[in-house]
Amino acid sequence: MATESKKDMETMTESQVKVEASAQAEDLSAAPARTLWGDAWKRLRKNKLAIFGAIWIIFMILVALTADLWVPQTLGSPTEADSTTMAQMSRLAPSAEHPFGTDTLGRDVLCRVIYGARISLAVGVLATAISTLIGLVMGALAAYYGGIWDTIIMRLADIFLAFPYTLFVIAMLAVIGSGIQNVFVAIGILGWPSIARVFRSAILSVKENDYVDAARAMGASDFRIIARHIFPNSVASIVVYATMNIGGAILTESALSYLGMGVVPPDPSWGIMIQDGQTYLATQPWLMLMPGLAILTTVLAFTLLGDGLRDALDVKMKDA
Amino acid sequence: MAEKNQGAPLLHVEHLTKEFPVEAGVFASRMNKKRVHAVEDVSFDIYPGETFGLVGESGCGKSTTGRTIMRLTNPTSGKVVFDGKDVAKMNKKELKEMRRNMQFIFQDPYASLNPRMTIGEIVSEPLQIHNVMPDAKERLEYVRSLLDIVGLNPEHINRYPHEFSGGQRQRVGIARAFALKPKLIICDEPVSALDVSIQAQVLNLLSDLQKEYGTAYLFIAHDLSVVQHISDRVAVMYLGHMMENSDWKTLYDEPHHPYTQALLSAVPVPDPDVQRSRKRIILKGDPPSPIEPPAGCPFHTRCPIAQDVCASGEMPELREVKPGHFCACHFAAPNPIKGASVEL
Amino acid sequence: MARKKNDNWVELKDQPVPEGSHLLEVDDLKMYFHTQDGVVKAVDGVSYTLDRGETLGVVGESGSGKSVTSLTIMGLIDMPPGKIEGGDVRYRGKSLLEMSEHEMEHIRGNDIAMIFQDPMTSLNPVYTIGRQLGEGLRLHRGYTKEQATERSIELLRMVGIPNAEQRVKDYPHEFSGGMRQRVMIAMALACDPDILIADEPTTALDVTIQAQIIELMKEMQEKNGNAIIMITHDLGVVADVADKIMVMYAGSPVEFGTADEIFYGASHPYTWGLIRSIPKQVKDEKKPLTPIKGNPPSLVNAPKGCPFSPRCPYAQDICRNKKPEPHFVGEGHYTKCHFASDPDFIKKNAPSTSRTQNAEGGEQ
Repeated sequence: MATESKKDMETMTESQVKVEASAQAEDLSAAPARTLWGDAWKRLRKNKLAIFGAIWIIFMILVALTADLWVPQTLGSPTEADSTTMAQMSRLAPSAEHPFGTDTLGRDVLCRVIYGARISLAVGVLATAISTLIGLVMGALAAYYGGIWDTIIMRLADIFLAFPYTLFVIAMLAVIGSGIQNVFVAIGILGWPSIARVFRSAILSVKENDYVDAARAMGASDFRIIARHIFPNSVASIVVYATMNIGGAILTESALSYLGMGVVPPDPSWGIMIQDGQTYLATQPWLMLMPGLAILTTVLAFTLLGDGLRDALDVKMKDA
Repeated sequence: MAEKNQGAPLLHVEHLTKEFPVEAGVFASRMNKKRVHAVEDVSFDIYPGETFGLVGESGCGKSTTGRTIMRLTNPTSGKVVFDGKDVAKMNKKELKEMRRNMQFIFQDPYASLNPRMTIGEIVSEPLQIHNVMPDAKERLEYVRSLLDIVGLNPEHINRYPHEFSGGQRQRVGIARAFALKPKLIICDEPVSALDVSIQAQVLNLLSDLQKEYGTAYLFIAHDLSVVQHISDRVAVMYLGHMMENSDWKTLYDEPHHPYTQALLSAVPVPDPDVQRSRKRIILKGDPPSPIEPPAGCPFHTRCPIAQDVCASGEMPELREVKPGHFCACHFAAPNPIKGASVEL
Repeated sequence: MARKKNDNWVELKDQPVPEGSHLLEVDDLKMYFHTQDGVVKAVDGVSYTLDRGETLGVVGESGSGKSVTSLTIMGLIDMPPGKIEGGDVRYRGKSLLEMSEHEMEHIRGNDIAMIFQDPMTSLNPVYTIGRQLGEGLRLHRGYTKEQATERSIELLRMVGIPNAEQRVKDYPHEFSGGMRQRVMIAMALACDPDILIADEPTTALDVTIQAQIIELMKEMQEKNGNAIIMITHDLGVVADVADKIMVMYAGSPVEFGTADEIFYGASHPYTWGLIRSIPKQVKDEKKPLTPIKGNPPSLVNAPKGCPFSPRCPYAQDICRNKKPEPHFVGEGHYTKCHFASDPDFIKKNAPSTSRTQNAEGGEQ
């Protein structure tokens, strides 16, 4: 009996191989080791919208970083107004010389949008980094230790979330003083509760899976279970959430600057530019439109990238 | 089977009890004393190389029994002795050593494999944890041979679980469980999520591997025909209690507990002639809640031969009605419900 | 009131079945899904007939198209991606495929009712059982709220739910799984349908509860005379209830016949494989099972020839290259296998059954 069913098994293996082979003949020959991130990158590359978003973000970052090298020479200073030519230069419509037009003080709008990008991108990335870090720690503490830790942390998060976010940031800035560094801190510190919540629920749902029990049954240490099983399966949601959060932080900074709480004039920021331009919306719309477009495209780019990352990090998606 | 049962048991379970609080939470636990009586006073032995089947309906505590033995949850009371050592008293190091010799196969071939690890990583994980075969190249060769043994193409070592069918994933789970050549594997409904034709493949594979490696199985399932097919001895559980326990042949030929008899009678037989000729026992109602189990015998609310004595006092003791055949019923007798045939 | 007076509607259920046809006739039905990955031949040439009082068992593994066939008959497949590629479904002589959505709404629940595997998700958790039971009656029969409640209590009593007057006001979560499936059956039978389609009705239930539900379905059928289409993967269940059996594989029926013909005179290697795969009651020695090799095929890149050929132990070149046509082994018993016409082939390879064993005088 034993030998017979052994033979059965062998032929079974063969037929399986055949079935599989016909379905996926191309990757049978080479079986290179695959990694989670390598595969994710392969999938991300196939997502045109996400790649478009990533290229746009990289382009913005490059332009913002290299601005000092070429912008003042070609477009003039973003802050200083030339009092002698101010009258003729004020609020010119977009032209070859000033592609985005000029503002009331005769400064080039494109130049200011580029310098504004420095602040907006920095706020987006740094503030999100701060809140993600706090959120990850808090979420992990709540999910792993549970019980009283969970209750305290999550109720604290509820309290934070109960206040209108922008109002909370404004209140905090009123206490610690306005200014760009404080904007980073305020947005960063107040942004953690939503990240903590997402991470906590991701961990809790991953923890429910049998493969976590399987690892325990194998004798794996807590550290191994967290590092190999729980983290890789819950981090995707955070990567995605953080990416999208960057867009949110940029918007918050714009709103704060618009309200006069963020960047101090004459430094440019997209929010301040919109505030300055709103008076002329009917007559010289580019004053508001150009920084508005900058915000729109940047936030959109981050959202597209976030969407793409979510799909790319899902191993179940087709690698086609 | 008799010769196998001589000598020390590999696993000895004695008066195992597991209760869960109904609601978890800071405030609930103090005010709410309600508990789920998942496993109540269960005792049995498993000998090296044999298959011990545990059957019962959902919520009867069979899976909790398996998880408690593995110490995936801690028992409320009772003793689990594996290889001469009490599992409940083990420290971290001893527990790790114990888990080298006791492995688990899960029901759900989808949830039990980490979706972000390749099947090669999954199968080699127990080897890494226990630092067996530290040489990566040797380990890779071993994993490939394991995949081959369970009927998977070793070329697919770098594929992810989602690229496989349910039956193939269960093979991965089996390869992982066998990687350390354990002495005991707890199989928790390993084939119930699979199609009939695939079920047979996996059952054969488990039998072949047992013959090859001499592994003992605790085989937990709700399907009586599957359990009968694979087990040497079978125990029937109802509402956390063990109702009957004997070698497979006696249990299926001559059940002494009315619940076992009803269970066997309820299984539809794939044979219309048999189906037409036999008279089936249809139990009334649903199993009671394990939160408030009835007094006396837990089965008395549905039992067709229950008397007053069954509804009062303690659960009837699991007594030896024949050598090696245990039954927990006041009226234990061969096929106690009269006028019903139990042909499977 | 669903049906307006001026609607010159013919209540199909009251019409006699036309001479020479059956209550339900499925004739070479083909329904393909057109997906990004290609054409999925989910239903590929299904034919059967069904009369009142009969039970058809549809057996197959997951992905064999057994559920999709019924959903197609009920007009519950989204089109697109689904598309009827051929064949017909006639109910009392009238084609269901040609009916408007409006007409189909009346057929569903009223003439053909359906129950599903998971009784929890098929009941809406926010409405009481009574309200959900009465919905069909108010819709199809124009009952008032009071009449509907009264009939609901009656129905619950009929399916064996104790204390029906009280329970009718309960919500689904207050019922156990078995009780919920009873409610589903009551709901399906509320409008006294001609055909009850049961899609794995007992798969989620424990075996003692399964026995109760099967018993109930048989009882109801005896009382109402409706036909049942029982879709299941469990050969034991079909052996228990079915008069006729259709064995499906990869979207097409491989064998169709009476229960006795399928269990004692099967002539398709897949049916044999299924029968051999189930662990059997043995008295003395346990034998290893004989599984079907390999895995169920993907419906996208279906083999050119017989869909079972990659897993069939007897497959020849012809099987891999040519789709077998139905071969009638007996009246109303057909098999889609190239070798079904060869009695020696069947005799040599068919599994032994309790009947052949009895005939040979071997131990039972």
